[in-house]
Amino acid sequence: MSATVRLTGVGKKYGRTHTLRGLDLVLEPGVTGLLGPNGAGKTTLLRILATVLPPSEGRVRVLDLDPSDPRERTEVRRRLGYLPQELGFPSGFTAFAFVDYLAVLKEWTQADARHDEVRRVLGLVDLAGQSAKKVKALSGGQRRRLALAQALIGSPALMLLDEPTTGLDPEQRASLRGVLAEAARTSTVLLSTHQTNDVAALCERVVVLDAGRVCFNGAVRELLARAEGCVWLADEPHSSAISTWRTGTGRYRNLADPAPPGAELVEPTLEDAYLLLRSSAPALT
Amino acid sequence: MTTTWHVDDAALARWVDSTDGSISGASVEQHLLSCEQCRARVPAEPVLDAVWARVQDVVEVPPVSLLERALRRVGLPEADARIVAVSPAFRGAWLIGLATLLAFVTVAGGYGEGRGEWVFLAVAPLVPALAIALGYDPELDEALEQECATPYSRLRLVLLRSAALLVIAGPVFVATSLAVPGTIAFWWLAPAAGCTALVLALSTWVAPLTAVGGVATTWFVIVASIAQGGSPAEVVDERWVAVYATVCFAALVLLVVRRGRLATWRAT
Repeated sequence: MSATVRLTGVGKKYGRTHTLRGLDLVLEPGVTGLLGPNGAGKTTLLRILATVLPPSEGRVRVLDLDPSDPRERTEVRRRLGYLPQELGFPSGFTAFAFVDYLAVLKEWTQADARHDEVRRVLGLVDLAGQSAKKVKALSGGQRRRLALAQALIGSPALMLLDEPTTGLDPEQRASLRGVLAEAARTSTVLLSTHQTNDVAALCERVVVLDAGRVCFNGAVRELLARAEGCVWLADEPHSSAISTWRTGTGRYRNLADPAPPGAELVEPTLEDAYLLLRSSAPALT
Repeated sequence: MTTTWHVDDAALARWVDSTDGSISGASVEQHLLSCEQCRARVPAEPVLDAVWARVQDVVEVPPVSLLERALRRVGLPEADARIVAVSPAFRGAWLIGLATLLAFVTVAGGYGEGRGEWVFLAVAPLVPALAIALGYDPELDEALEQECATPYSRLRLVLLRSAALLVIAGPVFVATSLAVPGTIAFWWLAPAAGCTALVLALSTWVAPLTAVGGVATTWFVIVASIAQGGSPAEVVDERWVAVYATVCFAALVLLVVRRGRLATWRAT
């Protein structure tokens, strides 16, 4: 399978602070989850891939093109869908006008075809009935879906989504997963999120960043396998547990590596595996 | 009523797609009203789809703004006209604020004699630069990060917005020049051009409003130093006008050379 994204030794510095360092990464078609604590460099990585921020060092290839070359960068942008973490909306715009404006910037010059495409993407995110509403009159979840709609224009070959499910209710998240799963049939989707549930539900692969470095890159099931035998139920919290809480049944769910002998093991979640990985990662500065 | 001719397939297809001219389209429509045989040949679905698309456009597509309409009328393509019209610089509050500032310093320049002319020369040349910076500053352009990730040229966006703003503000600048007496009338546009070009060039390094801050500080220092022992007319004498022209030219060259940096979003 051909790689959509290939990073070799990529680093990014802001002043003296390294946000990313020595990043080697290959992304292939399908959905890849990007996990990591705040400040791990997820947003910086997405900005570099979206060609809005140049790396300080290393080599970036996106869709077999070199974004440091102005012509090739423009070609990358033609085939890119990008949802930034914090999206601003020009004041006074309706939902339709906002997506239409981004479609204009994405070179949809024929008005009829553009309007059809705007309707299609608004329909995908379940906002067809809100298209004439002012953006400021939409709820937070609706705005997030509107932001996603602009990233879907033209069914891009590469979609970079920074926390697309923030502020969505469970039904909307489930609906959105359907949209992203469908998009991933033909695209490469990089999904940066704090929601391990979304990664478990959608992604084939997962990349975990910590302090600007990759601390895991593999299949979701491989990450899950790391937590096998590490989660158990007990009547008391375990003193050395990485995480422990009292469940609705009154028993404690403990996470530690390894579980004590004879413990009542339960199936781990991706969140357990992620927490376990984070706790075992060496301190990076 | 009987009819001896019938609409041919090509004309019927054009009418269905609404690509017929208004006269021949009306003629086909009139014929269809009276001819059952031709009416039967009209496929129902495409007509309904076309009507529905037009209804949706009426409901969903926002009306084109006055500015966008004017820009299209002078020949700007739809995409360019839209990109200029959504610029934050064209919001009423900013325009009124800048026009008021210019009016104040113009009154000072016209009626305040020596001190008023110094105030005018210190502030007025910065107004066009400030107006242009408002057109593409990241702090004001809410959708900048996505705009930067689209294939639309950032240099084109900046230059189009700047040019549109200068054209629209042109009459105001002329009126300002006519209201200011003496040698500084019209000549204040020379440092204004230098400051504006410098802001455009510097915004390949820093945010446009930060560039305005730097240029304004430098300009105040220049005006203050000339004011130590000279007259207002010296700010726009031949030597200084040559300096402004050189700065303007060099800044525009720099802008073109470093245009790639305009296309890159900077964390602010």
